[in-house]
Amino acid sequence: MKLVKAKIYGFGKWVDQEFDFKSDYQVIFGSNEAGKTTLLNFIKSILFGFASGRGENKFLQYKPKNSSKYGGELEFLSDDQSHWLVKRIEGKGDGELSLFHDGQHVPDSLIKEIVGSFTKDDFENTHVFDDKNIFSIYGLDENQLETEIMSVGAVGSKEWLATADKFNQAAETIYKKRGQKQPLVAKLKERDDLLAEKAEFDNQQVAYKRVTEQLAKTQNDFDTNEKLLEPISKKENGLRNLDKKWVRYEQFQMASPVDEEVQISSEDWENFLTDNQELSTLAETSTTSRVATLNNVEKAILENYRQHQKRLDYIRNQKFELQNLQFHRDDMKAKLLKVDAQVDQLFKDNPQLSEDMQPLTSQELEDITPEPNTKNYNLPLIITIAAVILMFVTSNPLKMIFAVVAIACGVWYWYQGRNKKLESDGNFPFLQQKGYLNLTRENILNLQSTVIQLANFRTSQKSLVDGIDAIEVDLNKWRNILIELNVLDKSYKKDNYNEQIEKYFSNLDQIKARADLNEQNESATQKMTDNRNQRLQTINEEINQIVAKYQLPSVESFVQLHTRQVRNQSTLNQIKQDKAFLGDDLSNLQQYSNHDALINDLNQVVAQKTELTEKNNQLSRQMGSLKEQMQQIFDNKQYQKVVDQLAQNKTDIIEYYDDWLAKKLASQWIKEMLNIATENRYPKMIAQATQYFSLLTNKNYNRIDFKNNSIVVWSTNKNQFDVHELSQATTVQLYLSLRLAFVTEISDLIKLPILIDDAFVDFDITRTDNVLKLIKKIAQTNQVIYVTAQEPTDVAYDHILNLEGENK
Amino acid sequence: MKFLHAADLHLDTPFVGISNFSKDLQTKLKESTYEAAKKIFQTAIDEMVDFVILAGDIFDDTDSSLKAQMFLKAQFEELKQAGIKVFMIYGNHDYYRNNFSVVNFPDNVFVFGATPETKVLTARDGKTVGITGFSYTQQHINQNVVRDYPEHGDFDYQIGILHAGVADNNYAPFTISDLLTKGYDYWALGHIHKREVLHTNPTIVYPGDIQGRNQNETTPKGFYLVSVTNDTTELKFVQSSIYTWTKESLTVDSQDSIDSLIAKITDLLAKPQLLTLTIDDAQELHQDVLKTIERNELLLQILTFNTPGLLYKINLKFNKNAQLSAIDQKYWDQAQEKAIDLDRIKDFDSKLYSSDVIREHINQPDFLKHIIELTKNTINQKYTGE
Repeated sequence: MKLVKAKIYGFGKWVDQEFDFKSDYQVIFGSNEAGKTTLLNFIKSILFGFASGRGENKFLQYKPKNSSKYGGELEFLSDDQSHWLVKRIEGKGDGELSLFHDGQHVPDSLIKEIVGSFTKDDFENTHVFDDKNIFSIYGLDENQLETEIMSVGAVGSKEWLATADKFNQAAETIYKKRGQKQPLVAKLKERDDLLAEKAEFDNQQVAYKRVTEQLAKTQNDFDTNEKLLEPISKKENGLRNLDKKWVRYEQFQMASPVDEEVQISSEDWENFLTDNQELSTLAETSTTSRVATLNNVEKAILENYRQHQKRLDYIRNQKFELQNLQFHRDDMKAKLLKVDAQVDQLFKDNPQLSEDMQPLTSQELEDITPEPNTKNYNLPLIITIAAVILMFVTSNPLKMIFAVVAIACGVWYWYQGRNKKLESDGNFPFLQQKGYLNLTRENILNLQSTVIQLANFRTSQKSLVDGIDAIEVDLNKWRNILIELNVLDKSYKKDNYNEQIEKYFSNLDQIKARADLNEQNESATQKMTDNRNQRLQTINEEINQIVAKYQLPSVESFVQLHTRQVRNQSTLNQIKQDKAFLGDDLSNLQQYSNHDALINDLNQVVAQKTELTEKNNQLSRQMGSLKEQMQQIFDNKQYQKVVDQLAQNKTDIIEYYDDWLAKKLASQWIKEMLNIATENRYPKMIAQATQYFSLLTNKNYNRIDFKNNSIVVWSTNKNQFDVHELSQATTVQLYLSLRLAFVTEISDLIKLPILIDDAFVDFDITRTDNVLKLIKKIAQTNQVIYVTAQEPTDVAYDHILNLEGENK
Repeated sequence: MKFLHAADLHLDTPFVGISNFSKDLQTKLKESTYEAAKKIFQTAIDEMVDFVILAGDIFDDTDSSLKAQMFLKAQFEELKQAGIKVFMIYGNHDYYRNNFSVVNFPDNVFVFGATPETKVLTARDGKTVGITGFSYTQQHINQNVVRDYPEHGDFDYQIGILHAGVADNNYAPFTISDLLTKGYDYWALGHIHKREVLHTNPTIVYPGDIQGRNQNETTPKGFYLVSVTNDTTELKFVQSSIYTWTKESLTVDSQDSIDSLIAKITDLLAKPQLLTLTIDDAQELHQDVLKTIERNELLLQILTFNTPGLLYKINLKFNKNAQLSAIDQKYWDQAQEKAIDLDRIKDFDSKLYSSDVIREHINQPDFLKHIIELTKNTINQKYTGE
């Protein structure tokens, strides 16, 4: 399909413009802004649609500013010489397309006859060369090229290629050469780790054997060491024992030998001690206790008593008699006072009464009065009865008094009775006689009782006074006796004799008692003193005997001897004890001249023991650790875990590998299949590209290869270059070669003009010439439209379209 | 005369991909090689055999076999009590080296040395038996050691113990005719884990390993109880495996849901086993169902059921949907030869190939077939999925 004509209605700067194209190649020459690129874009837009008005594409729309018309038409001449007209004007989406085949309007879908299955992008990627896509060579890889070339090759090949790519991508999620995270990479790494971990485990049998041997050796060492340790331990204990005993040993050695002297027998010493003890006891008790001795007064009293003992004892016995007397007297005195008071009262009550009135006899009374007064003759009787009773009741001295009173009263009673008879028998003379002068009969009669009373009182008074006097005489006698006997002091005026007697005797009793005691003590003390003296003599004799027994001059020397003896004894005992304590060690101790030597020896042994003990502990620890190791060797869970993990890891690796490989192979298989189906276009294309590259580079390079998905080229002198190592111009040459080879390879499938947009600005003359040479070559099979700002040389005039000229 | 022939005990084998199982089951699996070994020795005692032959690879991990050695010692002591001898060789896995054997086995055990030698014993029935064998002292033996075995000696019965692979250059390569020329009565082989009788009369036999150790070691495993009467050798297989690995395939269709799959799989698990299940025609399944399976949810769900068998793994097998492929099959076939090439795979990534695990894996005989299957499955799945 050759583009022969472009008719622009309006597109960018072009309005109502027509261009004719040569069917092999067409160079379009023009300076910058001449509209070269716009023309190429016009071709693309008519074929594949206008750019949308959005985003950056807006500038690719090329809507003319000075015309309302937008679009245009392209005319193609097909291989069968038929004409195709593609017309696109402004419309919905990418514009309104109209297609004509040899003047006939045909359905839009027939555009495939011209563009095949190409999209605008496909076209741009394959047939359009500009400085935009030229540098994509750096990202160009084999797969991409293959994919691209195959994608146009077979039915449904695009889908298959996509699938192959997906497999490849899927494979790379499992494993990627420089990957880190992919599971197969991780598993391989894990295997290395596990192997390293496993390598850290000893071979179990080797370890077992080694540890068993080590254990046996260590056990042997331990036993040997133990055998050494035992005697050393014993020796140490022995030396420590000696060290402990050293003080006693020294003491034992220091003990001075004992003088051989006469030994005081313990019996003698005991006796001596007992005697001495007794001596001192006796010395203490020598002063007897003194009873208080009597003073002279006391002695006089005692003497007086002894002289008049009988009489004084009598007085003592009569003490109460005397008291009775006094009592009686006092009683009577009291009675007398009473009677005196009664008499006084009587006179007071009866003023008529006088002292000389005498009672009238009964007769006299009868004479005076018919009616006798029988009253009052009972009084003497009552007294008599009372006195009798009292006589029986009271004690002796008073008894007598009451007896007297009783008798007296009896007599009185009788007399009274007789008088009464007499009075009653008398006549009135008697009145004077009897002191009742100037008194009425009535008064006399009335006074009669009072007179009688008075008379009675007078009688009582008299008897009482008599009684008192008698007692006073007695008491006086007593007083004289008491004074005589020194019981009473002459100066004593009171008559409380009883009390004085009492006092005297109490004093006397005390004196007597003391006198008796003195007497007794004196005799006892005497006896004791006698005994003591006798005992003292005995003891002293004994002591002297004991001392003499040992031919010693004095008791002091005896005591000194004994003190020495005791001291010696204790020394001897100490030595004995020391000896017993030291026992068999004595001979051992004697091997050491001094304590330091012993300690030195001990220290050495201790050092030896410490060393051995430490070794022992160390060996013991070693054995423990070995046993532990043995346990660990047996219990190889950790190892087993690693082994299990390794086995699992192996399975996992294989599984991932298979998965990865299956996907890789699937991808390859699909591509291979497509390659076959597309008749091996790819290798052919590479061969073609190599040819082109060689031509462009004046045969400097003769091979193009892919290594690790990036392009390498080989120079004629067999140097290999990575695409990045090439100069920019060479890179562009390489790109052109590949691209052009690609386009020519698929030219049997799709034949669209190749559009080259001034891509070689950097090229020198030679290179530009080479490009033109290549273009001419390609143009034999593919139409090339080449726009450039440089005026080409060596190009037929009719193949050059000068835009400057056109515009002018 | 009776004897036991066992090989490839692989005591202490680590089990992989069992993390979905309960801790208890994981522990039991790890102990299963021991349990299987106990069965051998118990059978020896119960059957009152004359001797037991252990034809190599007794230990799985020679760096740490103390537990296994102690275990064997105790078992051998019991055999000794029962008057049973043990003849054992070391294989490529437990090849003998210094310090390997640290536990002294009782004197009823004879371990063959680095060069073939013959031990003689008289069985309880009075037959004299010559037993010839050798132990590995290195991991790989390239020469044919069988050539160094003596001819049939003056015994009533001669046994050759050999840990090797038929024409396997790394492991004392031999051919059956090599063995036959020796004129022995019995070849007690070890090394190959799949039970196989290579020849009868004379008997040449691999008893296989005693417990399946991974999903590929399917079928019940065990050892042979060999009875020799009147010059006739009779083999009786005795199962020792505690767990049996199985592989099953379940073809599904578009009607299948998670529930229906659970029901079908549960049915498969009615027998005790460790099942590796392939769901065939997985492309038929609904996307949601596929996702549930791919996220391992179906497996975990089924593991929660108390089925006698346990589900170990589910593989999805996708087959080509012819209608969807517009590209001619001949392009695929042509491309396969070019795209899937062992050398190319090896060169794919030097780092990966430098991994011993991957290298070993790639060098497996079935690798290419396996990876082609996987790749096809991958393509089919993708094509289906998109």
